[in-house]
Amino acid sequence: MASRKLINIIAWLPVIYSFAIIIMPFASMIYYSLFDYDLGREPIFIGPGNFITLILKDSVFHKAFCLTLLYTAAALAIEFPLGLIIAFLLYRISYGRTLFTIIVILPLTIAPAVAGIIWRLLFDVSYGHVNYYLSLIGIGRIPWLISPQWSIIACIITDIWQWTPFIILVALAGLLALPKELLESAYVDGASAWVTFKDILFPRIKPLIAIVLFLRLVDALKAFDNIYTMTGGGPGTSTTTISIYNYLSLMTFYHVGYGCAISVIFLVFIIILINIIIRRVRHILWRE
Amino acid sequence: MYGSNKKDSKALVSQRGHAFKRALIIFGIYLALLIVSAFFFYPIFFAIVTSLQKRAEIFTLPPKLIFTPSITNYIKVVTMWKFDAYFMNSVIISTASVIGALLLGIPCAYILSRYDIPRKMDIAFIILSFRFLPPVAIAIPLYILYTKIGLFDTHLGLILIYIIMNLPFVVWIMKGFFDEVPIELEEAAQIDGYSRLHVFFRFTLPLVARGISATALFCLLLTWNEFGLALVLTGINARTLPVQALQFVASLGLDWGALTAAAIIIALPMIIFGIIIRNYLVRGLTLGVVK
Repeated sequence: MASRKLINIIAWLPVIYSFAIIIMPFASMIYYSLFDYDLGREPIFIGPGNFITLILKDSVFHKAFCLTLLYTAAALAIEFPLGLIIAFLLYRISYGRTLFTIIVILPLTIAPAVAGIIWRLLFDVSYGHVNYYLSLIGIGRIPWLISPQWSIIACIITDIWQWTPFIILVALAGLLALPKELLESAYVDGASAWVTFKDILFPRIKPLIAIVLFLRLVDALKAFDNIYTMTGGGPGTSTTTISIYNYLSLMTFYHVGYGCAISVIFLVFIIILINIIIRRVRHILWRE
Repeated sequence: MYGSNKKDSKALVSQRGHAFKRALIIFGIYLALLIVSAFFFYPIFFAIVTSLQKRAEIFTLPPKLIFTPSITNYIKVVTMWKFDAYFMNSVIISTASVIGALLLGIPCAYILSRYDIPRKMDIAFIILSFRFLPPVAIAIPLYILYTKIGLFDTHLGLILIYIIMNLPFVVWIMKGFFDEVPIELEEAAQIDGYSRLHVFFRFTLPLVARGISATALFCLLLTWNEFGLALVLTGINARTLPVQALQFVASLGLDWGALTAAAIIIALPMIIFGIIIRNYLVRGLTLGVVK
């Protein structure tokens, strides 16, 4: 049947289109990663030279890798408990849930780049509101975007601000989809709020949380926008995560070959990671 | 039924105590939620207030909350630095890429939902994997290619790659919506003599119209807010709003009023979209997995 063939082609069309667009850039990326090539100079073939430098010698890259992991771990470690608690609280109230939900949605709709800019002003050492409110409770001026330690914390705070709502919304949607009797019977049994949540509600929304964890993990690893607009990777290299380093190597230092090599390493890392995870969550993602 | 009075009053006291405890808990919950909402709302509140203030008011601490709002900052931003041109760039690029992704993605989503074709899972998961590509890592090879073939700093250049970025969302979210349309309905229409194509356009598509608009708005929000690819792949001509916002930081760094006005202009349409599609936001963010 001819239409059968047509259906197959239409189904593959998005994949065909995407490969058509990205196959050339990907090929050139792998090609250039084997060259010592700065913009405006002749490329010199050096084989795996860039990769050897990156993996064995480049301390900025090593630091970027650690910073990326730190950023991801810290953001997720705060966002998930916080998001789950807030979702549980929202689940327990009957009035004002819509209003709270709308407030919580707001950060999600703002461009991370713009969020970085707004927070940049809030974190201003002299006129920033964060330091002002901290001073009210007796905490002295924190050099947010000036000190290496505090600037990465500031970046993590913007991530928490922007993405905790994601976890709240998913957890709340999951909780609201559960049968009401669950909560009632737990209440009759006299179970405490914590036990109700831990033993009765949480296990039932765990698959959803696993999916969000997966999405958040990958997104935090490639975080770029909020960090770049807030600190530009600085001061020094204190907020230079892999994505930032990748960007700077090409757009600021014009190291095409080196930048491509970073892209290759980062892509391979992400692809391996998502393959491992997708295998585990496949059954949750795909339902016939 | 008529137990001793003593017992009754005791029960009443404990009941009262219980009700009190319950009220206290509810109060505590609202208090906690209030604090949390303040954290999530404050940066946006700050940006709105600052954008409506004059310079002297902005740098006053404690923050001045009573003032005469003025829109001079907005006029300044809109009239300077070709803001309207960048706004149009964002509108053109995000609209075109969403339409492109819908045209490619909706038929694919329908087939994934309804037909039994070979390697169906592969299609779905290859498309899903585009969701995870780090924008900067792919922007760099694209930049090299685009500068060679003349697509750098053009609308088309960004649209082409944004379609790929939107596809996983369109395909996965729309598959979820198609799954919800009862198959019996389509079968009944087919028995009535309609062709499969006809059934799709006449019956199925109108049933998921709401889903399509939610998906479209969600993808618009994503593309409008996209930054990494736009930063690398545009110069002065095709620059989109988030990238221009960063330029404002360089040129207006100390003019908080103008800077926040720009931020609000960029954010406001998306805040409205977000509130409109709030019931579908979770679905969008989780690619249709969480309903």
